[in-house]
Amino acid sequence: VLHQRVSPETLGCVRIGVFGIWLVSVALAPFSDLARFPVETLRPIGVLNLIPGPAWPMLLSPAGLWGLKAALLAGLVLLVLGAPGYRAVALLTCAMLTFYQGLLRGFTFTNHGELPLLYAAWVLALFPADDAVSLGRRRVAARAPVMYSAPMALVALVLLLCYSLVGIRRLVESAPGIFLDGTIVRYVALRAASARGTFGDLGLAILEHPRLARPLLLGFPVVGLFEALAPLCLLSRWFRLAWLPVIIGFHLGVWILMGFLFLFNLLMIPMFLTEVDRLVARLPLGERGRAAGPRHSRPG
Amino acid sequence: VGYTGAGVGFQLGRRDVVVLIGLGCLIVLGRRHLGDAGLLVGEISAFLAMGLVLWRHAGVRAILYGLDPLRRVLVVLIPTLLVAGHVANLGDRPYPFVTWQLYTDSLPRNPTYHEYTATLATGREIPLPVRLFPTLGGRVGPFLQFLAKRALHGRAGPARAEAAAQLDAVLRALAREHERRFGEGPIRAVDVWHRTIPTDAYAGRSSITRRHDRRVDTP
Repeated sequence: VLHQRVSPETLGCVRIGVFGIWLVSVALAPFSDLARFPVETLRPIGVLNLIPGPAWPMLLSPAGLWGLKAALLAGLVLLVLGAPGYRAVALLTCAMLTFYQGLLRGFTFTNHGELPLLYAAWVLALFPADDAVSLGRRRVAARAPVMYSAPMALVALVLLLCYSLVGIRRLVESAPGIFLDGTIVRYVALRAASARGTFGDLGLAILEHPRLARPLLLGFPVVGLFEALAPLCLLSRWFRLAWLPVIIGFHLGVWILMGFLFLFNLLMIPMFLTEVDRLVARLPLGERGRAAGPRHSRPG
Repeated sequence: VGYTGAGVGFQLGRRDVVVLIGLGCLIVLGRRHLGDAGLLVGEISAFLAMGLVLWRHAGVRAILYGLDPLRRVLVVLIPTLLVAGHVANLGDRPYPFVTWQLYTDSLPRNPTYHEYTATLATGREIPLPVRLFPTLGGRVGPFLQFLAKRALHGRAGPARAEAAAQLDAVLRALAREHERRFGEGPIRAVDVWHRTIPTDAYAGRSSITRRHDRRVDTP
């Protein structure tokens, strides 16, 4: 199984990676612009319904939004550093991240781009991801190795399941028709026409040059199948070695042709779907890292 | 007796393969004979099959059995909630465990979308960008497409009226934000244009047809 053996240092590095991505993402978002977006479009979704009605005006005021951003930044900095009080800070920060992401979706619509990283943050909050690579770390009693491998395997499974949900829905509901009627070419053209992405009108060029459309028509069912079977990456190294280039290529293709970048997924893939523990074992990360030495496990 | 799926890492027995074939048959039969419920049956069968393949692997079981009871429950609960939130098909109501439906519906020939222009006080028409609220990222564009489709082409009723009110509010907010950020003067009105891509006769952007759909005056 992928991540059968994981060191505390690897989990610590992953903690820095996951909460570091959230830190950059939150730091770059101004938040204050939400106070100028029409409040009548807001529908509290899911767990946001737990927030009492009278609290909303305060939460959506410029001061409330500034407070949310400041609290998130403070929590994320502490988590990246691995400061004492990890569990409490992590749970509170994950609750705020869930609120923040729910707010964006409640104002507009529910996209999926950040959800796997949100689930990853929750998983790391529930496990001792601060046992290594953390600030002012006091010595902790040795824990069972599974406490470090389980969160890595769980986040990998959750990330892979996110692909599988999409792939299985497409296969069960729409196959084979959707793969045979040229829909993917129209999706690419529609998205390219309306979005005007980084790569200009490349997505529209496939309408003028049908030969360019052929790889899309052939690739659409292949990607669908790989998405549906994604969780098998946990078990089979060979499947994972085939899956990674197909899905990374798919993400890059979507970015180039449709102007839509699944950045968080692309950042999570090297962290959770490769044998990252081998890489971390080579890094000079404190006593445990040196004692552990390079690992030569062969998962899958 | 376990075998490793032709050496690729699975640990399935013969009985497991029979169960997997049975679940595969359920997906096909459900799709053919159960109508809307077929999707639910098909998806549950697919995820049961996936769960079986995972559970049969000794490494997966070793991780689960090695955990304390609370964390063992959590490790099973999180993927279960993810799958349950999806197959329940309730959209974003169970957020953060939502429906994952992407590129599932067939698109007709000549797909359509909406575009927005602003008319300045000088009478000049400029394209109105939809990415003026950085915290919302790229969400406003698809949200406006959803609102415009429902407000301008949906069935008459309260949902259409609500979508129209929200569409106007978002367009006015974009106009205000544009005025605030760019020194091009006040915006008098925002126009919604219905664009159609002639997929078979496409010959550059100029071949995408444009039809006026709605004007929203800005205060």
